[in-house]
Amino acid sequence: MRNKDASLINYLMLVPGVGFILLFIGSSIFLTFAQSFGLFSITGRSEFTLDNWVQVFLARESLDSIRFSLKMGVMSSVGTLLFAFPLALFFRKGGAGKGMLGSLVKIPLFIPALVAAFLIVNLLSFHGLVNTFLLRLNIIKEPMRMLNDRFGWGVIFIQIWKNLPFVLLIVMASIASIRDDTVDAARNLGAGYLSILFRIYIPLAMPGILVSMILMFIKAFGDFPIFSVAGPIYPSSVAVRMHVMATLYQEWDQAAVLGIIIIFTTFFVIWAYSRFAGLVQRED
Amino acid sequence: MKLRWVALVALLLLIFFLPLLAVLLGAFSPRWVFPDLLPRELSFRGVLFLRSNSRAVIRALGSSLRYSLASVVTAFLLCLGPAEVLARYRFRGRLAVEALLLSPVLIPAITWALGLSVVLIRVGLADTFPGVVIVLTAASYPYMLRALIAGFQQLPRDYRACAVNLGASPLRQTLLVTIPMLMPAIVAGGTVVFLVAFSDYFLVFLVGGGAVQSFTGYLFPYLSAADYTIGSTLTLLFLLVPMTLFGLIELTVGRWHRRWGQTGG
Repeated sequence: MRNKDASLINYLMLVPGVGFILLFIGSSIFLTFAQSFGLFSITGRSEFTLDNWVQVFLARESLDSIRFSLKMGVMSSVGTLLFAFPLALFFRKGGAGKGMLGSLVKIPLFIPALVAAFLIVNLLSFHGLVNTFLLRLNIIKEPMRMLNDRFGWGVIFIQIWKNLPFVLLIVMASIASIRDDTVDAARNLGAGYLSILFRIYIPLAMPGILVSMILMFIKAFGDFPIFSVAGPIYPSSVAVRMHVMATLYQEWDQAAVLGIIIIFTTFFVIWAYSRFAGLVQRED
Repeated sequence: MKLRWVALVALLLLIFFLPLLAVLLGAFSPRWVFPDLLPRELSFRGVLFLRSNSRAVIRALGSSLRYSLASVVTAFLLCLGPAEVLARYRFRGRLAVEALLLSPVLIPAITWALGLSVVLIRVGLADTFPGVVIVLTAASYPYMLRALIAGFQQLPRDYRACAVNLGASPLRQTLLVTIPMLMPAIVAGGTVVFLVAFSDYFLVFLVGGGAVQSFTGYLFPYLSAADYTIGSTLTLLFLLVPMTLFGLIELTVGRWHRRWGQTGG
């Protein structure tokens, strides 16, 4: 059924939601933005200054945090997709036991990030189950360091475990919309499995792939709880550094700068996605 | 093919079940030391800890349940109108309104949460129960909105038109037609909002400031401490609460809705 034009009453129905978000989220972002330029400061004198931005960009710790969070965002989103895509292809074809398996992979969806971090930490820690198991099998000679490591493998692994169902659901929906006729036609024309994968499944599922990657990037880039449990001591993630700057050092204005950097990075990624999605659609 | 299938099932079980199994075993062992592959002894120290600290645990759980349920109700009330308009009406700036309402999940929470905590300090709502409900409602608002929009898109308009023709007031239309028919969407949205609110640590800590207790706040020190038994026991309890609640919802609301669907109310 076609949607009708909105009346005055319909506009009024929007007020509670729009008002709430504007009042609490909009004002918060405005305040963060203003604080990054020294206005509405809660710890010092309020006057316009670029000093906070200069301080943040001169501090090596801040730059390392931004770089590290970008790396975690990209690696977590790519890593999750690498696991989710083959699984989504597998689930595309119905079969015995797939309902049970589908429920199984959704378990992490209902587990809070904090608890997920604890669960995985127990497995990956220096004296954890994975190291114990590998030692028993004589695959390794001494325990490997997989948590709080400088590269952030522990963080990436937890992000993948926690967010795999979320990405899987989006990618599965995209793959489900690919018609069997298209795949059968390619097969009849002599396309091999890799050809079908790269020329049919991936291009046709691209909108879902991009949406899932962008949402995953945003989650991992701004993550706080997983990093605080499994991240390296240095560098910290940008969200953790922002929190430390505000609550520990009482540098709320510099924390606001980091907040604005996170927001702009997020917007840039969304913009890049929409541009890329537009290009993909035009090519189709 | 069969071997590949078994290997995949085993791998998935290992990846998704092993962490939970490890916590279950850890909760009932006095200590699980390296290089033991399995705990050597059985212990109920975790259960005894829960018994001796039952007051603190119940207080923290009760507080988490209260603000989580309050967030579900607040999010529902704030989403009902906008969801119906976004699902059923055309207007200029529709995309902008939708983007604005979905912004809490598009922008990492920490960026607006610090600003929001300053706003709440200024209006005197920091360290209060309403302040925590506000921040959790904001964080989970898009999930309820998306669920209700989907619900409204599935809802035939004829039913409401029938209610109007029979002289029902807008309030009666909403209470007796719209809400019962939207129940699956409300339950789906409410479940996600509850999960987001109940499992949040950072936002409650930031805005509640310790004055509003939370189970995550109670749990966090034990997760970082060396006592694996207690950490595992509390984690199990933490997982048990939402599962029990969803079971109860399925048994009550789910059954009621199915019966309502069969009899027509």
